[in-house]
Amino acid sequence: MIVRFERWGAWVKTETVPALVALDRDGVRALGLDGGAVWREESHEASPPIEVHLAVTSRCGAGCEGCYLDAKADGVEPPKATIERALDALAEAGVFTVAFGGGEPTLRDDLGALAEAARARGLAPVVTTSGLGLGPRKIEQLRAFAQVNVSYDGAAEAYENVRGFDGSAAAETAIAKLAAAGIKVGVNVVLTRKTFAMTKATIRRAASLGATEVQLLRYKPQGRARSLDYLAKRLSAPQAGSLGALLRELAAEHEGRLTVRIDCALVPFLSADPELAARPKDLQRWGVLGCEAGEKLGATRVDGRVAPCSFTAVTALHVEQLASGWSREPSLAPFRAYAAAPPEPCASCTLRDVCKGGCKVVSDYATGGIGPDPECPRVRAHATSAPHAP
Amino acid sequence: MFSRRNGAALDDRREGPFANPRDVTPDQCLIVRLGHGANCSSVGSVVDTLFVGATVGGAILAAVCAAMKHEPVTVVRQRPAKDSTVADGADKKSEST
Ligand code: SF4
Ligand code: SF4
Repeated sequence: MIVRFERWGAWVKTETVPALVALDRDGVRALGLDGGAVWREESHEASPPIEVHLAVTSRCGAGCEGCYLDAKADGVEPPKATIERALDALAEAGVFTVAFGGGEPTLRDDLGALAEAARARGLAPVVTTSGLGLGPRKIEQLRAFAQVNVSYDGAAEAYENVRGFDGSAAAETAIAKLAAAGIKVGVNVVLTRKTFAMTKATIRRAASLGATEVQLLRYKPQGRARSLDYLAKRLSAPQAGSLGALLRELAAEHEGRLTVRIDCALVPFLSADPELAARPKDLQRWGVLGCEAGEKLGATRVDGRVAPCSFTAVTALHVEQLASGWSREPSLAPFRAYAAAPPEPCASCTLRDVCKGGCKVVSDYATGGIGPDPECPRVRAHATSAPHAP
Repeated sequence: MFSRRNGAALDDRREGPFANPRDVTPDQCLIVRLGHGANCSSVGSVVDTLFVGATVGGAILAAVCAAMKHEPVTVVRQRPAKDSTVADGADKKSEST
C-alpha cells in the first residue's frame, strides 16, 4: 500500500482490497507510522493531486463528435522518454493513480511498457480506450493496467447518438475479449438526453459481455462538444433530477456483480434526491468526489502542460515541475478558492463539501466563468425563486 | 516491506517498530473510496456503497482496515520529509487532531 502524509493524517492506497482511504493521525500511528515534518509544520499549501490524467497521445481515428480534446488521426505522440519523465514527476509529487488517456492510448505501440514504467514508479496505471482495433497484441499490453475501461454508450443507436458514428460493435467485442483474457474491464457510459432512458439496458448489455464496473459520465461542453449542440445533448432537468433514483436501481440490480460509479460532474444532480442530499456525511465517508479540479485531480496534455482537470484550460505549469509548482500555480487558485467558499445556493447546500459547487466546465460554458453549476437542480430552483430586478 | 519512493532507504516493516502494527479502526478512516478511482477524463466515485446496509458496509470497512494492517508500506510525499518516518513505537500515545 502507498501512504502519503497529510496535515490531518495520511492518504492510503491499498492494493489487496483496491481502495483509497483518508486515515486520521491515530489510524496512521496504529500502522506504526508518523507524519513527522508534514504533521509538525501545519502547512496550508495545496497538496499535490492524488490522481492525474496523462494524455499519452492526441492521435485518435474515432472522430467522436463530442471529443473533449478534439483529438485527430494525425495528432501528436510524445516520445516514450518524455512520458517516462512525466511519470517520474508524478511519482515525485506523491500521485497515486495515473489515468492514461489521449487521444486513443492503444494507438501507442509502447503502451504496455509505459504501464510497466508507471508501476515501477509505484503508480497505479489505469486506461480508457474506444476498443477500436483492439487485437490480441494490444489486449496483452493492457494486462499491465490496474483497470481498463472501454467507452461504451450503448447499442448501435445510443452509441451513435453520443459519438456521431456507430462504434458499438467494436466496443462490445473489446469488452468481451478483455473479460475473456481475464483483464478487469469496466465501461464508460456518457449520459445524454436521448440515451438516458437506455442506460439500464446499456449496462445490462455491458455486464453480459463481462464488464464488472460501469462509470456514468456527464456530457460536457468542451472540445468538439463546446457548441450549441451541447444544449440539445445535455440531460434534461427531469433526467438530471432522477439520477439518484437511477443509481439506486442500478445498485440493486447489479449488487455484488458490477460496481456503479459516477463522475465528478454528476454529483450536483444528487442534490435533487432528498434521501442522498440528507446524507452528506455518508457521501463523504464513501468517497464520493465532486469537482476536484486543481485539488485531488490534475491533468496533463501531450505537451506536458498541467490543467486542473482534463476538460479545463491548461496552465503554465509543466508536469515536470508538478511537485514544486502545483501549490503555487496562479491559474489553479480560482478553482480552489471557489470550492472553499462558493456563493449561494452552494454555500448553504448540504452537499457542498462533496460537490464543491459543481462542474466548472459547465459553468464556464454557460456564464463565462467559475460559478454555481447552472444545471444543478438546486441551482436551477434557486435561480427560479430568486427575486428578479424589475 | 517499508520503503520510500525516490531513492530513500528501504526498511522492513516486519522488523523493529513495525513488528506489531495495531488494528486500524473504521472510525479512523475518514474517507473510504473503493477501486482505483481515476478515469481518463474525470474523477470516478463508487456509489453502490451508499446503498448497502450497515452489515455490508461494516464488512467492507473491516476488509479495508485488515488490508492496511497487512500490506507492505511505501511512503510517498511531495517533498523529502527527512524526518517523516517510523513512529518511536507502535504504541506511542496518540494525539487527537
Ligand atoms: S447547490 Fe452547488 S454545491 Fe449543492 S449540489 Fe448544486 S452545484 Fe453542488
Ligand atoms: S471541472 Fe470539476 S466537475 Fe467538471 S469535469 Fe473537471 S473536475 Fe469534473
